[in-house]
Amino acid sequence: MSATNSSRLKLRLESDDELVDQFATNWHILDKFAGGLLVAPGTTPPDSELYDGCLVREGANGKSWLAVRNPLSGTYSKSWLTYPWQCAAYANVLVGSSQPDGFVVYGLSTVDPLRCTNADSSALVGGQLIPPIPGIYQAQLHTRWSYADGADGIYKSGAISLNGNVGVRAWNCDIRRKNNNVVTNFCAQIFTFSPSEAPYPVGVLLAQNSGGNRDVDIDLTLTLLSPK
Amino acid sequence: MVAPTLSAKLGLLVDPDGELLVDNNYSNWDKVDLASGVQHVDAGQPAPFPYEGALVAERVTGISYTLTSDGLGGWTKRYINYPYMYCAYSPSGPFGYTPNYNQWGWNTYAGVYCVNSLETHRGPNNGWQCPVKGLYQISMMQRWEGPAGGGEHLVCGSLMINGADYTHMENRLQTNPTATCLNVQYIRPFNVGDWVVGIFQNYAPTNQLSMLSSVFISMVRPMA
Repeated sequence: MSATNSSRLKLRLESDDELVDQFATNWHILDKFAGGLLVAPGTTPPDSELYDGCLVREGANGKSWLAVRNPLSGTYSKSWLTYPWQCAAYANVLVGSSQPDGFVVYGLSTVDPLRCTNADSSALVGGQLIPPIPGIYQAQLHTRWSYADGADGIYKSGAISLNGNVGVRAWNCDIRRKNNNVVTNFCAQIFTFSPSEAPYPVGVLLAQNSGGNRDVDIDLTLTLLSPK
Repeated sequence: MVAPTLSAKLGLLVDPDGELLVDNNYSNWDKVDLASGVQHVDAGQPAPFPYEGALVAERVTGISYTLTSDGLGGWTKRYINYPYMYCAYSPSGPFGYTPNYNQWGWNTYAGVYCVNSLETHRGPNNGWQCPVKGLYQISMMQRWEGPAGGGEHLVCGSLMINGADYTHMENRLQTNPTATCLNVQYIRPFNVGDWVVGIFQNYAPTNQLSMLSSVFISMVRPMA
């Protein structure tokens, strides 16, 4: 007599009249792998508890992933199905006068826990936000300049920085009209952080040319729209 | 003879020594059949064979979830996908000088633009009240109109959430001079029962301005 195992679930397959022996083992396997595996948030089951295509749900944090088996090594990696994630941070900064092209990255200082989902202050590194996994993200920047400038042509601008790159300022938001009160502006950008890239920071670029220092509230929200 | 036991999730009869082999095969295969893959249900209907980790998808709505025990004999849904859009608008009203933020909600439900939402999701003061825990994006528009030749005036729009003014995402514009639109974009997590309503300021000193507001609220990702 001999017994083998099925390829995915490792069901015990008897080849002869000892058929009865397989059931005590297989019922438990079928029971365990029915539907999705529910685990505590942040828990990764050992490889012995997974199979290729196994759906794993992480408790109440809304995350879920498929176990993907590497055919060569036999080890498993995660293919995210759902990954609710958002981090928002803000700061009040003083921006020195520069030319319109003189964008500088200004640091965020405080994470707003009310606008965080599966994220905390550890996502704020060096004044910028770090995406947790590859995916499609949306960044939203609100700026609120508190200094009134009564002449047209004063340039106040904000933009979203990807990996410190000022070259993305094509998506910036300018205020060029005179303002006799607080003025605000908003810009949003959707971008892809690919699996081949190391996590890079997302930050805030600011520039103004009033001739003096200008005070501004900045508020950046980074949202994972879809894992990749 | 070793006594049979029941498996944890599906309640399969496990008979170590095979004494009940024929009987348990019959009942067990039936349960395995019911539990395999995804159980399709009509919108809002319970799964025919609930168990810990069961995958359930609604036929038309696109809503899908897994089940977990609530510890009281019932089942809690943990959503995988939840397409959702709520849209409403308000008629314009005349507003005089309003230097402090004032509420202005959306009293007309625009069902034609909505997905899996209900008019009953209208919140306090004609706002919106969250029906399912999740990360939501709010897009609000305010269209301001003033009398021709009335000059430029500052108008501001923002959101009130759970009774608190949120001004860090406010948008301020000068009317110029007859009509201008401002948008407020915001993403944040909402729990069931949290509510939001539009707010505004109008610095026109003498002229009565009118304002029409609309809102689109969509689910980015369910958290329940």
